[in-house]
Amino acid sequence: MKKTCFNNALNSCVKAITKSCINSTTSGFMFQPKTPASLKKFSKVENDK
Amino acid sequence: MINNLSTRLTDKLLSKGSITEDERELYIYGLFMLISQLMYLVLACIFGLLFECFFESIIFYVAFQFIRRYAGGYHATTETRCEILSTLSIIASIGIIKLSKIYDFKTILLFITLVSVVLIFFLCPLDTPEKPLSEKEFKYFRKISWIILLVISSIIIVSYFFKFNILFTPCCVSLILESILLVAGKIKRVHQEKSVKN
Repeated sequence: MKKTCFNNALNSCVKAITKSCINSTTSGFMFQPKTPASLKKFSKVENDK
Repeated sequence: MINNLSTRLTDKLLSKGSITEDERELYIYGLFMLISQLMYLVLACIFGLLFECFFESIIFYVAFQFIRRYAGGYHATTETRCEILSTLSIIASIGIIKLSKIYDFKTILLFITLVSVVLIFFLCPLDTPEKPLSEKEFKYFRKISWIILLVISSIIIVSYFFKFNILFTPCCVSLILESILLVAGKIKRVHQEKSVKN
């Protein structure tokens, strides 16, 4: 039960932060890892019609 | 370091069946961002406590994160270099905040910030080869950067006249650091373009 809760929280956290990062110019620090192409689906600007 | 940690954590989650193979890439990227943000926030808090300017350090970190994420700028080529440079820039910024509590150089700081605002206005947003922006994204992020720049600049002007030093110096330092990173990023890009042509 505890593990499921932790996994769900982690899942939500990771997804939220990924969405926020994909909708910004760069990361907030001095290293930008290569952005996976599959993450473009989260881009608000690109998917905005 | 952070990349290894996020890869290991993701693989652990994958082996336990908590995530699918398709989500692996997303998790490595997301965990990298999550751990990095937490790590630098904790670093800013620690140095803030050490330099006895805890709240100013948090205000600096938040203001810097806002403008940095949309305006972009210099990025190190390796993760280790990033960790060293980020830590040094946090220490230097909090050091300036600490010095401003001892010596009064608010007017000089305001003048340097004014130059920084002009630089950020013209140079933003500066993307990276690792995360290139489309034309649509470029226009969108430029608008957001300008809005954030306007908000931080307004806070600086109000806090200067009303002597809210807790807001004034951290906001000034965040814009100065961002302008330095933008100029460094621009120089790096021009240099890279020249190397490609030659």
